[in-house]
Amino acid sequence: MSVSPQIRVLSVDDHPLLHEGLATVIRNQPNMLLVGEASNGRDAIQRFREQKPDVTLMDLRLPDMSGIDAMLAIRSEFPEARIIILTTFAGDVEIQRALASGARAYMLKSMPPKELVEVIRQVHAGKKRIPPEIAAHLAEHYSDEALTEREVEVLQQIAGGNRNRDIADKLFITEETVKVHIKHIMEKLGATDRTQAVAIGVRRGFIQL
Amino acid sequence: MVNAIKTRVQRTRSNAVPYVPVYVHPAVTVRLAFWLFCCLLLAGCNTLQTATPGSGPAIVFTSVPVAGRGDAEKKNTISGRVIGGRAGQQIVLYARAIDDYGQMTWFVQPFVLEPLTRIHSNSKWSNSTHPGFEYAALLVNPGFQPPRTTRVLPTEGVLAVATSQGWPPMWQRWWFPLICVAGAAGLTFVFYRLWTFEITRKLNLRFEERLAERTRVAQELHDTLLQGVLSVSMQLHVAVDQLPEDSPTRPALNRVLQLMGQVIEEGRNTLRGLRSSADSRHDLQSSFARIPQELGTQSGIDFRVVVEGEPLQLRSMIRDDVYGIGREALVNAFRHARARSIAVQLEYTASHLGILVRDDGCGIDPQVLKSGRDGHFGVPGMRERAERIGANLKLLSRIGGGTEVELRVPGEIAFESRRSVSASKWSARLYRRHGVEHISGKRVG
Repeated sequence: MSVSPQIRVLSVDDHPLLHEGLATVIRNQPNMLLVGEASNGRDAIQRFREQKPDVTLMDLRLPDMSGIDAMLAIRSEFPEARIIILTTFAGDVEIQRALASGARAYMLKSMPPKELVEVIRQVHAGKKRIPPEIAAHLAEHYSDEALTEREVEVLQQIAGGNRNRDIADKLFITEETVKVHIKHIMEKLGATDRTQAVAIGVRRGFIQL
Repeated sequence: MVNAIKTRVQRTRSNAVPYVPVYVHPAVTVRLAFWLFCCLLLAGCNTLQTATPGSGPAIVFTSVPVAGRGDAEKKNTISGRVIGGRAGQQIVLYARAIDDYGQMTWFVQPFVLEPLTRIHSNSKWSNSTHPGFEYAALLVNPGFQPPRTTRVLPTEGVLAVATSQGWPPMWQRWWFPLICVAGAAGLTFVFYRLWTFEITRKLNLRFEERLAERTRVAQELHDTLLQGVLSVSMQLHVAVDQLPEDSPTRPALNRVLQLMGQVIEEGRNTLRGLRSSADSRHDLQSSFARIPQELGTQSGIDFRVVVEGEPLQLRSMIRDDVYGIGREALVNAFRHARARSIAVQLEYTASHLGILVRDDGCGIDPQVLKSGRDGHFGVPGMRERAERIGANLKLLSRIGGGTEVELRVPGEIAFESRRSVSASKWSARLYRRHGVEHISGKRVG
């Protein structure tokens, strides 16, 4: 019917205010159409089934599951789904995980809307896109040692303000083991104390706040 | 044995740089005292005397009671062993005490009616004795008639003799004061450790609370403020794009967009850093060195930051408070003291972290020093902070004579702990730290 078919976009984010902003940006593009909004992972999967959007904007932090898990669920059903991760922070670990899980692009919410719509178009055209500043961040930590799953759990507990003993109780390990994990975390992240470890962990995306 | 300890101490010391001040850590003191005590015990045992006439049989004491005045009520155990004795031979014991005429006299023991002590088959003997200044054991053949008392020990019919001074009571022995001093030092050390442990525990608790609080606040900010601002920024971008190119409001709105970008960036960085207080990436001395610029003080004041010793990694909680106190002192000096020169001296040693802020200004009124004037000289705040981290804060000031603020934080509280370090490594580290000493000066203004 039309010469340039409309790009149908689904936006997944748990912040109503941000939905409003994204809606304004997309509505303002003549060849884009916002076909749905979802505020959690389960909702997102449901909406995707209903609408089969061309491009999905996915926040990493959702109340019920992580954006990456929601993306994996969608892609297991619709392997051709084109999903853009749109988030506040750029942690190298999260970016790597997102790209490894099949995200077509990784965008920061703070990027100018013009860039955002440009990326939506490129992804719709079948391209992959990582903005230069995110690529640089990714390269910076390329050779850094990753935390093990257990170490991430421990770091998450530290961020929650738990003492070593509490962490030991929660993870069913001894306090000594917790200390060993913390030592490794400090070494891998190059942190000198717990606050710094948490800060670096958040910055790099090992843990979310 | 005692010599061995001496050499050991010297060896340890010779490892260090020559001008190292002689400083022995409490733990080392306790160890030395313990060894000294063991050596003394051994040395003490050797003073038990044995006497052997010729090469015949001999008597050896294995335990001799303390020395004391003759006392019919008290009895102590005395024991020993016979070398080369024959069956049937017996021991006669004497204790030397002052008799009714004021003369030193040997009294047969334990009783006049039981003057003989049997030698067991394993050639050991043991009996009780009343106290005396000196004790004697005589090896005699059967049928020997020991005198009840005698000024001089009998020799007729005596096969062997052993005498020994009674032990002086413990508190009279020469090593007793040493043990007391060592004990007191040990106790002091234990209490000191307990105290620092308690402070550290409290700090850790507070630290966890603060971390949890920060995480919570960061989460709140991320969910509300940041997302809101991001949304506003997006919509404003769209709105600005719809304005005609030559619209007069365009530049103003572009400026707003630019500012919003900055706000978002700063907000993001704050959230990621979780840290609003003094920047931990900078060490203490550079944080202090930047204060004049932060205050925007006029030039003309000679400001220097001096570091003594090798800067050690501070616990982050301590860093916040130490920086807070130092900053307050510097702010007072810059704003109120009318000083010509202000100096900060940071001293890192194994035992403590010292900070001295000194100016040659007008001094603080003693009244203010005591109570703190409204909004000025946050002296109570400084004291509160110091108390919280178990530090010692001293303020010295005279009208017209400048001000000195001195803060000392025990090393165990101030510095990142290395708990698994053994005492020997510990002392090695201690000496090394003392050995390294560099001074760097900085001039501002």
